[in-house]
Amino acid sequence: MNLLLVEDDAELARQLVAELGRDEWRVSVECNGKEGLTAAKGGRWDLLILDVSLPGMSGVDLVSSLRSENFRTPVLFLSAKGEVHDRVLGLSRGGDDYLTKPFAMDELRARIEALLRRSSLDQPSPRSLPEGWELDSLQRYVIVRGHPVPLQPREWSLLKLFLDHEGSVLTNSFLLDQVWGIHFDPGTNVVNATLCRLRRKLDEPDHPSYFETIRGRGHVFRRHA
Amino acid sequence: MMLGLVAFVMVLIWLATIWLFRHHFDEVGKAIIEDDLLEYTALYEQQGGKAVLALFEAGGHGQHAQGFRLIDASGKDLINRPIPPQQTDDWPVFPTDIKPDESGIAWLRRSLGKGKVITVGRLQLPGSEELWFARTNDDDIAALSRVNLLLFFALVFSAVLAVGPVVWFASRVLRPVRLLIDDARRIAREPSLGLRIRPPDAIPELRNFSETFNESLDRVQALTEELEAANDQLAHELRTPLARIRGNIEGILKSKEVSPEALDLAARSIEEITRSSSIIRDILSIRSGDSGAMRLNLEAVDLEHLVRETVDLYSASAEERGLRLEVQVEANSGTQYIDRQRVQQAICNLLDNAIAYTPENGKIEIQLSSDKGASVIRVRDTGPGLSEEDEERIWRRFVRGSAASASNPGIGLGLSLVRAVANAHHGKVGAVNRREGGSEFWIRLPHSPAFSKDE
Repeated sequence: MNLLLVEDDAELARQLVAELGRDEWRVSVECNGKEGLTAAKGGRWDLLILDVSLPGMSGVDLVSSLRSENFRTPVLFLSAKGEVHDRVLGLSRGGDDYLTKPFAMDELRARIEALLRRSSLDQPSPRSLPEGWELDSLQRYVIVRGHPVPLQPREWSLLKLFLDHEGSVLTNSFLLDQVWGIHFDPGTNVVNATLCRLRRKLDEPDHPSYFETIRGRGHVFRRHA
Repeated sequence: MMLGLVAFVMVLIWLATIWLFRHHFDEVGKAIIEDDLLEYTALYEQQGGKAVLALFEAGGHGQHAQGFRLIDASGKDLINRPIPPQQTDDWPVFPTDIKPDESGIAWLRRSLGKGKVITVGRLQLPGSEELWFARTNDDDIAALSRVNLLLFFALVFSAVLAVGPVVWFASRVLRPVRLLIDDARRIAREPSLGLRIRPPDAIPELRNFSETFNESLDRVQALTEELEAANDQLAHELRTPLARIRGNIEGILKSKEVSPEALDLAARSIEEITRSSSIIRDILSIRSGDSGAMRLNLEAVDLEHLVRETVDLYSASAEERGLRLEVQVEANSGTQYIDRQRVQQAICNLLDNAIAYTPENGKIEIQLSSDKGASVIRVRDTGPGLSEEDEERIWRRFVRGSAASASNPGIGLGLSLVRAVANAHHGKVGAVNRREGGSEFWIRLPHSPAFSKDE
């Protein structure tokens, strides 16, 4: 996978390259808008990661310009502007996702994964499930070794998100955004509470939980070894 | 208003004048009768009844609605000339208790209906005969109606003279002033700073005033825009270093050669960075809301759905603390154009507060109702309530209520944000103590038709 990162902050760019490079992704960096645009047009990219405030040309203008030329590569914005309208502006001009600084690297990776999966939907890989599990999407049942376990709508969305990102750490803010559609901290531990219910319903005795919580990072779904 | 007052004064003047005239005519009528009686008496004593009658006839008194009578001591008529068309025996009878005045004349007034009055004077002569003289007010009534007519024209004329300048003043001076006030009010209500007063052309002083007013608005707008730009700058400047710090600490978290103590410290630092960034965001939101610069992302939202969804977020933490959460929907006015995220955050802040301050086994009610063109969301708790000074103070930045304690986290931004969100929606917020204990916080969001998506 080839990623183009356009970010003018050298320290952040260094961290991003180090972090994303671990996932067998090749990351190229440009540090201003105009060079970013040239690079974007000149290469074959699977994803663009753009800072919104760039010297030369803003990230939003860069995307507008690309989209007007039928450039379909998914775009993820990074921005120090976190207001709702900034986000809406970014997405309406052709961005596919928007992440406010400071962000967790885990969250950035989860969003990149989601975007890459969405853009390669032409050959969807069948979702692999833990042994003995079946999903009944119509009734929102998880069938665990023949026993149907009914789930609430939010529990269902949360579980599917974890299955899509198996093995990746998902942050609270990513889960709040994807499952509850909120982009602020509601001050209550709604994610943990819902996770608790999922654990009660799905975990099996004598086995470690499917859902591990890592302090300071988030939650990760792992099937039993 | 003005015209009513003028009309009222005019009617008052008219009534007073008519009353004065009527009174005056009555006095004059009596004086005529007294004069005639005294003159006839003198003539009668010198020349006898025939001369008196001749004088009466010559004076044409009959046509002037006057009558004359001379009777002897036994009450028999010596001369009798009643007022036509009355008959000779139509004279009124004097009641016995009427005493003569200092000129020796006894008076009698009879109403003949429709404002017509007959006045009779009676004088005892030295030879014990009686002289009567009668007069109706027919002449007075005719004179009065002429006065009435003249008075009417005079009053109408003076009313025009008096009201004319008032009408001129109202249209040339008051109307521009009123338009100016309307404009100023609209500007005060409107959160955006783009509106200006339309300077009235008619009055140079007002035009100068409007221009000065508009210039100061220009300055306020420029300052606000500068502040907004500075806010963006500040956000950028603080968020970027926070992002760098966060990246490095995450590096520690993911490293495999770090002691558990270091991991714990790194995790705590990450939590603090998360907290700082949400504080930065809240401060910027509140500032933009207070300065009227908050940009809303309006969408059609079903408030009932939003309220239920939001309450749902808290059901777990309420359960954990042994609190009951109850939603009451009194009226739902359908979909409303609001900034979904911000309103939800405002409701969240109220709920979060209610949960933090309500002791175990308490109850929290969330009520959605409709009131005079606005939706009202109320959050009621059974907590300690508010002290009197809290009710106004708690909405300010960094102020925590008197019931706050170290065990309740928070730096006092939540309610300021609620107020900023309400302000940006042209709404209001408030807090009161409930009679049955606990407090009630409310947000009012008008469903104004002017508040459309393209604003």
